[in-house]
Amino acid sequence: MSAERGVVRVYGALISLYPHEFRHEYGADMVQLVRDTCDGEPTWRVWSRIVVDLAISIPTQHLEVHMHRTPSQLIPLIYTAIAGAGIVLAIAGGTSVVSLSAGLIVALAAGTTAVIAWRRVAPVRGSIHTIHWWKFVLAGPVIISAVIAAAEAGVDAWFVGMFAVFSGLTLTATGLLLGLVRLTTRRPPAIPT
Amino acid sequence: MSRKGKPPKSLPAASLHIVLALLDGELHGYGVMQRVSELSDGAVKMGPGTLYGTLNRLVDDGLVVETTDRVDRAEDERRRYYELSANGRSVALVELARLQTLVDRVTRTLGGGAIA
Repeated sequence: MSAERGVVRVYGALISLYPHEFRHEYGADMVQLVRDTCDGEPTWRVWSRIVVDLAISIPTQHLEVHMHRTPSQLIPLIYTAIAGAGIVLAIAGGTSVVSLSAGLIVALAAGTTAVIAWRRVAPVRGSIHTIHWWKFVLAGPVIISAVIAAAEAGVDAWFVGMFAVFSGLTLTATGLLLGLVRLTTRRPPAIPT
Repeated sequence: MSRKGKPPKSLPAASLHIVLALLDGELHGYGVMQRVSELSDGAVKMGPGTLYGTLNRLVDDGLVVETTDRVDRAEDERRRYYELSANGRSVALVELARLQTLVDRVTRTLGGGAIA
């Protein structure tokens, strides 16, 4: 089928974006896997998976080459930062429909990719969110203190400051909520294994 | 700071799905992808980059070994095959036991009767 051949051909070209060593080692297998997948699934579904996969695995492989270790949480953090930048673009654009649309599209796409990337690197275990509630609570005052310190030092960036203050308040509120959830859903003493 | 008594670090989700998929025996890349999807009721579908990136890491960590050349295969067979190493198998079983404990605890918290 031509649509399937098209997917395989375009994917074959896109894998040149991976680091040379990785591409050399696994490129042919990856193209074969896409070919196999096209036999059993609709093309649009294969494409949607490929786009997300490329967005996560290309930067992961490049970072691995430079860091000589798995970048683990770095990729979700990078996409979270891009999503934040998208929100800033949407706000800073004022009444511009183009800036607002572009900012929201970037924020939505990067935010979704960040969540998917996080789900791949995070270990599967219980209480993963609520156990770290206090870190979120502490993050807010730390960020706000940094903003106050920067303002007193003469840094004049009110927009960045406001963004940081709102982010800090959101993190603290999230932490308090997670703490409350943890308190109300506390399990009986651990069962010996 | 002493790390004594700390539980061993859990595998990331993508690695965990792959080692559990390989518990049945050797598979090629597409086979691993299908098995992961089957085990998760279709909820987890790995793309090629994630699959081979994770397999590469697991091979480097000594949890998975490539078995392509271990047996004679069909002339037109170009796929690479993988299976768990002895260490990988014990890590997979530890992870399985950990997940079983998690399920048992949740079931007990729900009173045992909530899940049919």
